[in-house]
Amino acid sequence: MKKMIIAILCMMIVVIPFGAMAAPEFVGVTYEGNTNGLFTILNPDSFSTTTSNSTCIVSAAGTKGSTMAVYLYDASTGMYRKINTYVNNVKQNEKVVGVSGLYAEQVLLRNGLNKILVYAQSGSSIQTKRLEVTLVSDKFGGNLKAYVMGK
Amino acid sequence: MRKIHLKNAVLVVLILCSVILAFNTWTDEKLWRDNYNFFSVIKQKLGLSDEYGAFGSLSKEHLALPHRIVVNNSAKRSVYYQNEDGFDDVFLKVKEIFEKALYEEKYENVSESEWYAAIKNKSVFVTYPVKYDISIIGDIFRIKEPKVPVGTMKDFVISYGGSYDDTLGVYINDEKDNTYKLCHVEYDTKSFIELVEANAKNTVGMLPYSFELNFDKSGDSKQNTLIGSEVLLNITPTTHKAIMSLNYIVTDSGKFRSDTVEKILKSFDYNTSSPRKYPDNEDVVYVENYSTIRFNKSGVIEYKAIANDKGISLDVSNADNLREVYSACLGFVSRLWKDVAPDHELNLTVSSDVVGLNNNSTFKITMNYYNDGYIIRDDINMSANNTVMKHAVEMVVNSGRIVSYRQVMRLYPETSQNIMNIATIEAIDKLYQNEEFLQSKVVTSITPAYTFDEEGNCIMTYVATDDKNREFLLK
Repeated sequence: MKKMIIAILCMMIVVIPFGAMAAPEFVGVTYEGNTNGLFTILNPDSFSTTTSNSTCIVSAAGTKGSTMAVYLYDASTGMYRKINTYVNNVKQNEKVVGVSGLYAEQVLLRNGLNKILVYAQSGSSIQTKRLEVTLVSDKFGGNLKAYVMGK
Repeated sequence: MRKIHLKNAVLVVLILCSVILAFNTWTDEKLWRDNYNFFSVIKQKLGLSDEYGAFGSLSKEHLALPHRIVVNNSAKRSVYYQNEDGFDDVFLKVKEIFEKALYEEKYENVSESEWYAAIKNKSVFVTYPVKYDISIIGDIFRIKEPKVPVGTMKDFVISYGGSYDDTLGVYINDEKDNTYKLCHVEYDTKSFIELVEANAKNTVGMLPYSFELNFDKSGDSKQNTLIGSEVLLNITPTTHKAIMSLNYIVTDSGKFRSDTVEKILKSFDYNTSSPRKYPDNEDVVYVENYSTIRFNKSGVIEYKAIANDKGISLDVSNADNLREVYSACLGFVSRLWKDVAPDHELNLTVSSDVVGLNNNSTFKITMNYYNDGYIIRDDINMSANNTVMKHAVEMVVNSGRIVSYRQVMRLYPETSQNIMNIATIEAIDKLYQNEEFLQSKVVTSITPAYTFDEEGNCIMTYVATDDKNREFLLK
């Protein structure tokens, strides 16, 4: 019982600071946010895309001052987990949109279906947007291209 | 008997050596004043001299190299700047392929989307620092009359589109009418793919093109900025080697280096035994009959002829021929550097378009120092004429004569210190602090650059241009 209380306390210590910040570490699969006006996705240009490129760059036009982050679906927790980028050993997992209104983040894809969630928060307004990117092998991509070209 | 043969052989070798050495000495242009090199003229008539003489030295060839090469292999991409490891290996093969394309006459027009698709394929995307007239490109590749139907170009793409025969697509963007042209050249595609696979090392996501992120299209009210399609964006901050700025004509105690000043004066054919000079504030001005050279304490030298016909004559047979004039300008800059600072590498690159002469046969050219492929902007305030020297070299040629020449005589060695640069999007956000930029909000180019703060510390920043061709140095 004592161990369980300590574990819960530890989890709260870890989760609460992130919860107080703009973008939480995890987002539930059904979470929708409360607005649609904080950002527009520029790339990928449709909800579902297929690529043979193992990286996908999510770009968006966002509202100045809003905090944005990208999440990838984590099957082990059944939730979306925030993507971390390390620059000189410093973790960078969210960005504040500047006056240019531009936002971009790289996502390293796994083979098969990748469920991505883009999250933005400005004050109490939260917007989320889901994307699906399927990574296929180079060979399959080439065959698909040849088939489409032949058609 | 054997001794006599040996003597004769030694004698013949010695005579041959003396003839060859004497010939080299006589034909050395340094021995003669311009246009008076009798032996050099004979050498040319005999066809013993290089037809492209002005590109003969390594440093001049260096001045004509591309600025950036992007090697792309679907998910992998690497960027090579001049002087960087790997640049030469890639460019040697690229040169071989592009030369074939310059001989090609059959070109077809292709759409902008095909151009971008070519860049995203297994490809090598080569960008020159400025726009060049096609005759200059021909000169760089030592092809007298390129057959390619293009007027002006700055970049080209060699792309493997998955063909089964040994052909590669060479795409050229004709800057004159903003069209894209494609030709197919025969080449060992296996070797090209190997080149691409070996040299594309980083993930594409760290350095995407603007067109890959749709930042070049306006469609949403929240997007305040448009970025030129081919602009490469650093998604995360980057690390660079710091440099320092060393004045080459002034000592640490603030006095002009007499030996360097003398070398510079000699390069401009000034009398160094009894020079006429006068001080002007902190500057020293040397005077000859038809020109002056000002030595500024900041390291800038400034030559001015009193009239267009009194300038330094360049070695050109036709003063209206862009190719010859450009080549002679490179030759002059290169020679001056070699005379003044022979122990230091010349890290200059052309920074103004080379597309033609003005109506009155005037040609203006600017150059900048680079380190690791990044431009150095050591902007110097020139109090004498109230201007800012943004370029390392500024040269004006009229009818084959240099009438004005300015150069920052500084060295920029690397230090052991590392410095950080912000991501490109963050830099664009900073651009909004400039009121002039607010009138356009379109970024046509943005590249990392070295500069210095007021204390002389090196900082890494960006130089951007907008659609009105205005340049912004972020500080």
